Amino acid sequence: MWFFIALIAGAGIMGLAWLLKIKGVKLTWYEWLLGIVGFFLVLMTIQNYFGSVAEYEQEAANMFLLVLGLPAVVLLALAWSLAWRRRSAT
Amino acid sequence: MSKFHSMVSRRDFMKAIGMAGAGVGAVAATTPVFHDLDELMSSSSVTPAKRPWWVKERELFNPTSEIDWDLMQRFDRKNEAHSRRIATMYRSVETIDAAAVTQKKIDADRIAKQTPGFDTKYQALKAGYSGSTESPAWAYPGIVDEADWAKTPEELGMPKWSGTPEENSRLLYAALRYYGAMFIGYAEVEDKWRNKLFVKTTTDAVRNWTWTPQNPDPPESDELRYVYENVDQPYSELRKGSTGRSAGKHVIPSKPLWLITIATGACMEATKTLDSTISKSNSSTANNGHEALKVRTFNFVRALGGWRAFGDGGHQTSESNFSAAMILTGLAENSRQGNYCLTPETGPNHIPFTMLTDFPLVPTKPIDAGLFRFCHSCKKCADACPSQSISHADEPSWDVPDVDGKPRVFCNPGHKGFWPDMANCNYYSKGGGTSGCWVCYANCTFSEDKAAMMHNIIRGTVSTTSLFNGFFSSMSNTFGYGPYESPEVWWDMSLPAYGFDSTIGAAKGGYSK
Repeated sequence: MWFFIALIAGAGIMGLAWLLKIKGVKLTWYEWLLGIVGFFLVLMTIQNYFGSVAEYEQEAANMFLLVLGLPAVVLLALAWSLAWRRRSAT
Repeated sequence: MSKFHSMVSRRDFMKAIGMAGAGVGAVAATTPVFHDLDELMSSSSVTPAKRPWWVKERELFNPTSEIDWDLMQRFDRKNEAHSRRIATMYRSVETIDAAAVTQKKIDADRIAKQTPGFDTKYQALKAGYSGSTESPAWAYPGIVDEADWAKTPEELGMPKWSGTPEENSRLLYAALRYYGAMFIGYAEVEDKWRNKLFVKTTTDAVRNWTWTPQNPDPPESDELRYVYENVDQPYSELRKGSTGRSAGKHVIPSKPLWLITIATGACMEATKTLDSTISKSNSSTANNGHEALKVRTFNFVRALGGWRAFGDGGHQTSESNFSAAMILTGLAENSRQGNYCLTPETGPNHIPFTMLTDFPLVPTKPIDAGLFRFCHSCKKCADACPSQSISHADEPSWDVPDVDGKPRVFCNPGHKGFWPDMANCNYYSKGGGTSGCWVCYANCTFSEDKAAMMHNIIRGTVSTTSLFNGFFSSMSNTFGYGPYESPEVWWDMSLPAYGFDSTIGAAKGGYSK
C-alpha cells in the first residue's frame, strides 16, 4: 500500500510544485509548514485507518478519521486558502 | 531549454506522470479490485486465508499441471519409492545393502570428524525434537521413562559440547526458539533465588483443604515442599496426602544451577472474544506446547553434554512464580493487575513457565519499557474488573493491605506493587459472579495489535516519558479498544499458525519487524 501511496503522493507533490510555478505563486514559510503538517497527517490518517480496520477495530478507525483526518483537511485547506487569497489580493 | 532553475522540465514532468500513470494502470489492470473490506475478505469463498494478490484461483480439479482423468488410476503404495521392494527392483540387492552400510559410515564419519552441520550441537538439536513428538510423561526431575532420554555425547562416542556461558546461552536460545518458545530469559540461581524467590511448597496440600479458624493449615505431612540438598541430580519423594494429592518433597540440588524462563505466545484475538469459551487464552494450544518444550529442552541439554533440565513447570506447582521470573529475567514488567506481567510486545498475552538446569548460562537483565509506569496512570483493567479485585491506587505500595480484616496472605510482600484481591477474583470467576472472566486481559491497554502505526508510536513514547500516559490510557477507552463486539469475528480472521505472531523476537531479515 505504501508503494502506491508514495507514488501518488510523489506525483501529487510534483504536480503541486509545477502548478505553483506556472501560476507564479510563492508560498510563505508558514504556508509550507501548514501544508507539510497537513500532508503528514493525511498519511497518518490513511495508515491508521486501514491498520485499525485490519485489526477489526472499526471504532478506532473512525476515530482516526476524526482526530487525524479532520485536522489534516483543515490544515491543508488553510494553507491553500491563505495562498489563494494572497494571490488574489496581488 | 535551460534546466538551471528547475529540477524538472515540463517535458520531463509530463513524461514522468505518463510513466507513473502507465505503471499504476498496469498494476491496476492485474490487481483484483475490491469495493470494500467485506468483499476483500470474502474473495476466497471457502476460507479467509490471506494469499498474495498475484495468486489466482482456478477451477476445481484443474491445477496448473494438466490432468487426464481418463488416464488417472488409484495408486498402489506397494510401488512407493521409499521401500526396499522398489529399491531392489531397479538395483541389485548387493548394491542397495552396500548403500545402507555406506550411509551409516557417512553419518558416523560426520559425527566423528565433527563436520560443521553434523557436530554435537546439531545432533543435540535433533535429539531435542526426535522422539518428543509423543510428549513422554514428565515429572519434576524430567522425563520419567529413561527410554525416552536422549543419548549423551559420551554414550554416542562424540565430543561433549564445550562453550562459554555466553555461547551456551545463544545456543539454547536458538534451540528453544526452534522448539516453539517465544520469550526466553535466564537467571543464575544464587541466594536471592534460593532464599527469597523460590516457593516453599506447591499448592497441592491446600487445593482441597477447607480453612477454619481452628484448622487453618493442612498437616505438614500433606505438604509437597521444595528443599535443597547437596545432591548431583534433582529428585522427588512423593506420597499421597490426606486429601489425595501429592505430598513429600522436590529436591533442588545445591550445586550451581540456572533458571530458564520461557513464554509461549497466547492468542490475543481469542482473549478479545470476551466473553467466550476461548477468551481465557492462556489455556490455548500454546499452553500444551509447554509439555513438548520441557521434553525438548531436557533432551537438548542432555544430548549436548549430559546436562539436566528439570522442573515441574506448573503455575501452581513450580518452584518459581512465573511473573516474578519473567520480570527478573527481563522478559516483562509488573502490572497494575498484579497477577499477570506485561511484555513490551504482547502485553499480558503470553504463557510462561520455568525450568532449572545445570547447563551454565548468562543471566538476562530486567527491562524498562515504561509499562509498569504506565500502569500507575492507567486504571483500565481496574475499572473494567467486574469483581473490583484490581487496585485503583494511584501509586504502588510496599504495604500489603488487609482484606476484610484478614491479612492478604496470597500476596507476597517485598516488592512495591498494586495488590490485587485474588481471592475475590477467584471466587467471582468460579461461580461467585460468573463462570470464567479474563476481563482484565481483554481490556489491558497493551492487548493491542500492531497494524495501526499509532500503537508503536505510543509504545515508543511510553518507554521514553510518562507525560502522556494518562492521555493514552483515556484514549484507549475513547477509541473503543478492548473486547470485540461479538466473538463471532474470530472465526474469519485467518490468524497465524497457533493463533499468535511467532515472528515476535525474530531478527532475521524477512521475519524481523
